[in-house]
Amino acid sequence: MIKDVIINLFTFEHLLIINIGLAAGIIVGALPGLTATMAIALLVPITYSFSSTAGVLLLLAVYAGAIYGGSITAILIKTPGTPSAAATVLDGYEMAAKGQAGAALDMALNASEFGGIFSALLLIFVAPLLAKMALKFGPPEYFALGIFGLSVISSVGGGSVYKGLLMGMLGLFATTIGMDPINGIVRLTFGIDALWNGINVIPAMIGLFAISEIMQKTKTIYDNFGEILKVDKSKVSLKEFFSYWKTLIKSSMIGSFIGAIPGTGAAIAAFMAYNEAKRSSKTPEKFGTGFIEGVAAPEAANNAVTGSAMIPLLTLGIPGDSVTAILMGALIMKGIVPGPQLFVENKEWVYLIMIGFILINIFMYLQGKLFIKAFVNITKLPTTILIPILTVLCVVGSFAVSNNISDVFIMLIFGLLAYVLMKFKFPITPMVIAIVLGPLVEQNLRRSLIISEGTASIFFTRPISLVFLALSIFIVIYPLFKRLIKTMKA
Amino acid sequence: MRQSKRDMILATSFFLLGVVLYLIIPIFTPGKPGVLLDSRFFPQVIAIAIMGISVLMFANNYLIHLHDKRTAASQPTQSPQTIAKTSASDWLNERRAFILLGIILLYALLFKPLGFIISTALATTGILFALKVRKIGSYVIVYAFSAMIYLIFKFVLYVRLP
Repeated sequence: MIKDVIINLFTFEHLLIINIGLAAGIIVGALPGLTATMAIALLVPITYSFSSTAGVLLLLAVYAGAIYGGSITAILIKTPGTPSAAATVLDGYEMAAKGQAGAALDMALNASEFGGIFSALLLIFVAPLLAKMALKFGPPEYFALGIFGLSVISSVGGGSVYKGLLMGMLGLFATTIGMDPINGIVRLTFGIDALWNGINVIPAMIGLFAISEIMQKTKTIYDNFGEILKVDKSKVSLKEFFSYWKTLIKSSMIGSFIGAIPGTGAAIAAFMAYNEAKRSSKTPEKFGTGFIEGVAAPEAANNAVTGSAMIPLLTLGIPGDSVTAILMGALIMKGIVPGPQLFVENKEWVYLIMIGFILINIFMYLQGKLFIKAFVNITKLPTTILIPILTVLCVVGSFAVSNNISDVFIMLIFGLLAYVLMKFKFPITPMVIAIVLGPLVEQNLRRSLIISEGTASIFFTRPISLVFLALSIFIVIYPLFKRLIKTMKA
Repeated sequence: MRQSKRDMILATSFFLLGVVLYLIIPIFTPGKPGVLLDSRFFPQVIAIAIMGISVLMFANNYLIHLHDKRTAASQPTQSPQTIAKTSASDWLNERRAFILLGIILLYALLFKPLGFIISTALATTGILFALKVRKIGSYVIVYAFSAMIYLIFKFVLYVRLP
């Protein structure tokens, strides 16, 4: 089977798609303010007419490319292209300011490559074991897992857990519009015929991530990001690169671990790896002054997230962050349902994603080496030009989902909702994940209750669902409890 | 307004939203008499969850409010001039974002009746104009990219654009 997957991967079409996706990802990642999530949301409609393999490879390439691309502007203009590259600014820009931009970019590329391949290998070895365990899950466990996933994602974003949960509930409610998945009754369409088939996931995500981000971007349109530093000819030799092997392995492990936890993401992983590298260094005072190890650590960690973030998605069918939520939506659209059954019924898909990830990382290295100057030049594109182009992509992309203008209006509604709620510090990710998980949560809740003839005890008598639900309740109650103690002490 | 006070108002608004959703679900969803697990069940569970989480959010922010009140004296306050200056520039930025949203809405309304080419030309010109772009080169780049998007969707991805 692995041989068939490799033969399938090494076709001209797939190699071309990987390289286009990588280039698009690196460019979007390098443009300050445009995120990997936005790039993927905008590119999903482009994959409609592609084969399933080509579509998935394109999106994975964009994901990996965007995470690496963020480091380019972090190093050259002190502005991270994506949040995941924020830690790279600390030493990367200082190196560039000292006239070592070439070496900093080289280290960022090498370390990203290292972290990316490390996590792809981890995905190959860990995912099947976890999937084997998840095969024992029944409807109550799946329902509890869905609730646990939503609670964790709501709690680790850094803001209020309750705001995250409310966003999750709004997302779940949105999935109840249209045809009931169990008995086929049309509900909550409010008399609008276009809602009979429910809210299309892709236009909703384009609205949540792209429209709200474009609106945000118009507010900083005249901000000056500063001068782009020149890329010199300094490089990092292989010997020098591997002299940091301890930091690279440790950072890749941190990135892989963080990436596999729902709701965390590459930015947290990069800062954790940076702090750990500084803490364990014999020369911590050099960090922040243009020290090359300070570029290696965050870059290895943030790209290590890309592979491991696929672990909960592929094995449990639970997306860990907004990028994997969109990937899940795209996979479902292509008829591939992530979860443990994928490892039994569509094993070739699992191998395709795993081996595809390694191939993507190899091409990312080549593109980074050969075209870095071209990517740097593209970052000079002014935001005023980007906004109308992205707007056209949003409208055409949403329309293309089902050749229906109502999807464009759905995109606009979700975009406005996200923009307004973000103002009040409501996180968007829980809503996106809830939109993807909604059908799974509802079907498994109702199936469980049908099995138990309407009693909720089924969730508390099975150990796995009990643990997941107990943890979810703890996540919800803990902040209030903590606050109560703090207030009483004051 | 303090964050905790604003969040208490938001929690109350979400609670009311939960109540409204709970009440309108039976109106817009046909149910089966005597059956608990019908199509209304899950939406109603969500509406109740929204109410419950709102209560927790309100309580949490009330405690923050109490805590802040006790420690209020030690916190610095902004001068009225600074606040006025910030809100004026915020308003300008906000207006720009909503003008863009308005243009996208018009674009969506005109997309089918006028077709891709005319509606896109109008929308992109409108956006560039609203963003005070005066360089002809910028307009040319945007039109070229829009044409490229059209060609890719129409002839490579076979999407039937109006």
